[in-house]
Amino acid sequence: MNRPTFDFDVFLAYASRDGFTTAKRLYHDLTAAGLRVWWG
Amino acid sequence: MTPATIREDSAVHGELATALRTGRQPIPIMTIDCLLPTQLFGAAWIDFRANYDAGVVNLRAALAGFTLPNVPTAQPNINVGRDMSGNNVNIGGTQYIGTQIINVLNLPRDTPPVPVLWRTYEPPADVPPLFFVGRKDILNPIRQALTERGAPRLNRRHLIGGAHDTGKTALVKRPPSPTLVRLTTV
Repeated sequence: MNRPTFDFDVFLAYASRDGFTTAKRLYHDLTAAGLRVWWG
Repeated sequence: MTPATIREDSAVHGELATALRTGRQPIPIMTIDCLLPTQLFGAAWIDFRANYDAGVVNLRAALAGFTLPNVPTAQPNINVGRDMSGNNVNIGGTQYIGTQIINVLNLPRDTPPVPVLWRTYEPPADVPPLFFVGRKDILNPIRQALTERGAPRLNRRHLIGGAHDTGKTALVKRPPSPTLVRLTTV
């Protein structure tokens, strides 16, 4: 049985209360740089 | 890192624990002034506060595996307190006399655990204002001790000792920079 894998380069951990805007901006910038970014 | 990330109810704590448990290397980025969570003690963090674009450049370099020069470091270990019978403490066989207002001591890396004569000390809930000024005669030696030759000194235990009600707790509860943050209070 194959183990699940995490097919991303970066996991963005942040608090939505005061980090959402920066996290969103960072997600777009890192994605534009070719990185696979997970954020939720 | 933001103030909300270090709240007890923040989901980031669980995400961070999972990352550490599975061997991932967290890269803290500081976007708003805050203390770092204890799990990140000793980790370098990237400063996004003053310049977002520079932060992104540094983050991409870190993600690529580069060790960044001049990256701020997480809080050193700071012990604050006094002994139960007076203002003298004994650490590593050396007796320190806390008669001065504030003494800052750089303790060796192999400093043994806090002596048993120290009691656990809980700082009061009320804290000084977020920003306070003055006390440069105290803060400058501390900063110098923690950043000798401009380089952060990690994994060092520092003792801030002194007489009762001289501001040791205030110094730790509202440090002058994130470099001076987290603390084991005894």
